[in-house]
Amino acid sequence: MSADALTLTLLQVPAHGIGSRKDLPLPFPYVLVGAALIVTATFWFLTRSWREVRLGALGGRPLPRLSRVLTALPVTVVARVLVLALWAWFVMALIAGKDLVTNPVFGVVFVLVWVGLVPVSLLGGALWRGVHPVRTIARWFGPPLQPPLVARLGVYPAALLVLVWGWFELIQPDRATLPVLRGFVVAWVVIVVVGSLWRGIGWVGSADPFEAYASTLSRLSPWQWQDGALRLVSPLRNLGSWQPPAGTAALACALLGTTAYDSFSSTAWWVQIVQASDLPRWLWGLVGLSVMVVIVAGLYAAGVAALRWGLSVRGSLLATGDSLAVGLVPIVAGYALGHYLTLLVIEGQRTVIQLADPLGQGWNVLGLAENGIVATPLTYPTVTAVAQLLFIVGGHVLGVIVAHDRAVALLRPEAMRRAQLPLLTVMVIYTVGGLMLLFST
Amino acid sequence: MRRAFVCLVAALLLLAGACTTTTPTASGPVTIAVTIANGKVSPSGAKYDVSKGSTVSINVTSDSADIIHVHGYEIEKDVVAGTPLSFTFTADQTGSFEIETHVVEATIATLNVR
Repeated sequence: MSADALTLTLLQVPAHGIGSRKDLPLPFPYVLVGAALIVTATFWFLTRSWREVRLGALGGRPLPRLSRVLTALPVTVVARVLVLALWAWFVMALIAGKDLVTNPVFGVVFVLVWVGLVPVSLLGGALWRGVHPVRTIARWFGPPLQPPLVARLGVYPAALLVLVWGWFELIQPDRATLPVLRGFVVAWVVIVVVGSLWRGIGWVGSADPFEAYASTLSRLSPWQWQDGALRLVSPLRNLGSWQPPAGTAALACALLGTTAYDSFSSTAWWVQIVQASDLPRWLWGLVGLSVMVVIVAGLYAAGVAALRWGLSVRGSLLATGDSLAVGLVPIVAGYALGHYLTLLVIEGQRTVIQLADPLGQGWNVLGLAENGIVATPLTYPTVTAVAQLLFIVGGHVLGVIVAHDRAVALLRPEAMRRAQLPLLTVMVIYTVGGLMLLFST
Repeated sequence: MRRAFVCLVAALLLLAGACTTTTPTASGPVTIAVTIANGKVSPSGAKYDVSKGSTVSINVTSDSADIIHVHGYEIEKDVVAGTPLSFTFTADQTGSFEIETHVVEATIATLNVR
């Protein structure tokens, strides 16, 4: 093998090893029907016995002592500097590392950051925003007086950038090469930093796709800050009491469409069509991703549009869609965990081990390099498949509950059930479609 | 409210429990005959279900130099134009693994090992 071919081989081993798709041992149609029935039954129960807003107030237990510890200057400084140092370590691998698949930076971007932010936000609340490197650096120049995002823009810029990220992560042919990844990271830095200088630090919340995603999921965590104090709250109340910023529905649809495309693009049907065609792969990818996002967003828009006749106070389609988007958040979380948790478990470990030697010089920082990947949790494909199923069906059930609670606040009592039926139908289509894509073989 | 949640959890568990009824997967050796010609692969995007511990044989003929990569197992073989190549491995890890070519960038097949 020539040196060129060797480099080619090493470069093109993508940052994934173990796929997330497994066959269920049960006849699959039964699972689909069962899942659709559970979602529908949840809704039927809700319309009968859940007639007032129950999740509208945050409630929960204030934790003054923990709040004081977490906001104490030494604690915040140490946490922010440690995380900043971690990012510096990643950047070192990006700038000075070798263009080989063993460079940890690929796993950092595609697995630790993009997938890791899901459990971090679901378990740690607003942690991602709290230690965001750009926000840390901005603090050196003065305390943040601005709100966490630019109110008028909402998270629309982030929704758009999630689609750009989706194209990069899933379609761009050379994404697992260092020059292309460097280009992407530079573009991210320029957008986030230049935008912050222009619109204030709130721009990070509006435009950074990673932070906007993390902040959205943090509403499903058991932690919420209110009036400067941290509260331990029910995740459902945390989400149900949230008035999402403009663009949250667009952000959720972009995330769901990207995940759906990821599954769809590995179905045998799609792979065969693309490989038999003479058109470039990226073009097929772009079409496939666009179609998935349009389907997800179109269905949601149709469900919301059909609900609007029952509103007690007339609202625009976008405003109503954003308000009801609280119901999409658990679905986004369910799909993210169902699709990518196995990737995080396996490739996350590989990345952490590789981080011992970011420059390919044979370093063994913290002795990380001596560890092996523990794959025990994935030994039983049935357990994995059932966990994936529970994440997705559970996400939809929670979504239906939270969306119904929001609908109770928005709808006239006599329109309650009928106005929600189209949106319920959308939820059932999402459930069945999502499971079919995840378990397609 | 509380009772409803109990019902819901019970239904979810029932669904999960129903899934654990196992059906057997085809076991025994699997042979995949691969052809690479004019920048196209055959089979293209195929799926193979094998049970853990099965022997998988891959036979390749190609009209151009290429590299075959079995994901997860991290097997990489050089393919020489015009020279048939055969290799065998034991599918001892469960999961879903892609078999790809790296010069003609294509997915030959996905191996579902259970």
